[in-house]
Amino acid sequence: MIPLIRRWRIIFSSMRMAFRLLIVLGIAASLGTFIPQGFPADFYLEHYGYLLGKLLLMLSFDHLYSSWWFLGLEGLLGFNIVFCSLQRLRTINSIWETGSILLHLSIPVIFLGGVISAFLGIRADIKIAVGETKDLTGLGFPGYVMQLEDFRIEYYDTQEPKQYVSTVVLENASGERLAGEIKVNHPLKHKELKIYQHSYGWQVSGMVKYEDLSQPFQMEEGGELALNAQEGLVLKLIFIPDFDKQTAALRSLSSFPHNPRLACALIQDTELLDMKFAAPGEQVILGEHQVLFVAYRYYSGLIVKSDPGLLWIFCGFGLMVLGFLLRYAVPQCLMGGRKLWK
Amino acid sequence: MEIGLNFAVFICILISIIISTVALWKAGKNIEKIAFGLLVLAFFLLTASLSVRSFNLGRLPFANLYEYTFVFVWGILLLYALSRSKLHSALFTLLVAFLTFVLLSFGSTMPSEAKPLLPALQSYWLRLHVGTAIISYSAFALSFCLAIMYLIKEKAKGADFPGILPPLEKLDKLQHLAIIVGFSFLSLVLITGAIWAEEVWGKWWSWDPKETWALITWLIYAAYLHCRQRRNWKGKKASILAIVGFLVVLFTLYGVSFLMSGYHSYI
Repeated sequence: MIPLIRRWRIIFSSMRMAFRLLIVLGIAASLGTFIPQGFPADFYLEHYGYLLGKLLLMLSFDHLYSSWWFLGLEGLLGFNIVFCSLQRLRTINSIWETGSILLHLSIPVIFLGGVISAFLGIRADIKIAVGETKDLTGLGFPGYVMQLEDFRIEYYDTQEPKQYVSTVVLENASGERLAGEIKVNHPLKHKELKIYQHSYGWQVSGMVKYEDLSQPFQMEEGGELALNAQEGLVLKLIFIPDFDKQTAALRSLSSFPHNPRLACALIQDTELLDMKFAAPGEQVILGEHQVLFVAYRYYSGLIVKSDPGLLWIFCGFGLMVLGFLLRYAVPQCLMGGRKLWK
Repeated sequence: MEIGLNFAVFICILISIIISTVALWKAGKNIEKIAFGLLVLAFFLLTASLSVRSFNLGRLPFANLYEYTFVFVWGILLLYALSRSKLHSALFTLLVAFLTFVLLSFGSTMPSEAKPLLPALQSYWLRLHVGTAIISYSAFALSFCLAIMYLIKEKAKGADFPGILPPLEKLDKLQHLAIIVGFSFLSLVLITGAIWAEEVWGKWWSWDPKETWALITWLIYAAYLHCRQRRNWKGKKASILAIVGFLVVLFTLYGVSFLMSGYHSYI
């Protein structure tokens, strides 16, 4: 058996194999940009026809970059680089060659970081309204509690958004408190935790009354509230920050809450039965239901993550830059007149 | 002001195309020098135009495909001027002038409206990421021109272009050098992009079409360098691969922007 294993090792650690892997990985990666990724199975069957669709799904082309065979190819390339570099270690005789080997080894280091991230990294999306406090324990960050004190949008003179800013207070299990701002391009960092500004929106609250029953609601703008499941009756709530009285359209004049209204639409199956606009504190009647619009506030969409693989990945980047510098930027005069390029 | 300067850049490049074409058939050195001088003039005019735009916007012109195309041409002209100490050739001047003319014409059809920076683009990493991309892509552009010259020279076998084209070996070496510069800086483009993506989206790699195609470009040039070293793929084969590589660079830059959607929607 040993000769067979050795033969395989020779094949997989050859330069010929490296070249093939580079080309095959390139072609495979390009396929993933032409075939839409991450859609439900039905999409592929409809779009590509039954047979081709089935084949694509069988080969995991719907999530190509995390498929077993793509990861396998990356693994083979990593393996190939490590073995090639080990073989070359014995014959190093210049700084250039040292640089070249560092440059090559940086790639398996980056892969290793990716594997650590995949297994040990945690990432969660949360939506938190201004004034709200959320316990992050259930998301995989035990003992952490976060409060959103404020959310604001900064604008340019042209009224285009310049920055989205969440002001938060973070508390960990041992009671340490950290107050700070989270902006796009400026995540909040605390030990292994990083929190990113991701999205925002409006949260609306109020009450729906039907006969003697009253049901409070607090939800994201644009959401639907089921009123009667049997009859397929739902209430859709759309927040309009700057309502145009003249046209009474669903479109807001600006993104500033100058004249806020809640558009309440009573929908049965797909049919719109009635729609009314409620100002804060106002109650409107839709069929047999009364809807009271109480208040509105911003919510901030944040990403909370911890990623122990990142250190490896960044070390890999550092190693790659160092490798390039030693390989190509050490001047010839320091190398005793040897030629850099053959 | 900016429009006037851009127009002057166009005119310089256009005249340079005509003069360098004439120089191909009239092998006198002075004619070629005029074509070179015009491209250098175009470079300075473009520098002025981009400076005016930067001054008006209060930021570097790095934020959309229109701006990037102009900066890309600026980079090609800069590297072309710097390579003068190694290479004098009317055909090289013609190819560079023609390529920059096509790029500028194409860039001019894109929306040039100057908008303030989106929150996601407000980062120091923008400058490093785009700055390294300019050097990388410009070096690949020169390697593309050198590869075409190699193929022409080889085809002519010394018959038709005797006085104008430098020796094959020199063309091959310069092409290799340009690709080493391009590849080193492309690696920096990917690294700075990854670090920035980690800061802005919390994800250093997300298989966005633009970054995937940048990686494919990187794989192609990595294959080029390995073939050259180990399999002695020099000359013709290497030149063909260099041409394919640059076509993929153009697809990454323009094709992906027009055909595919992703995080890089602004460029």
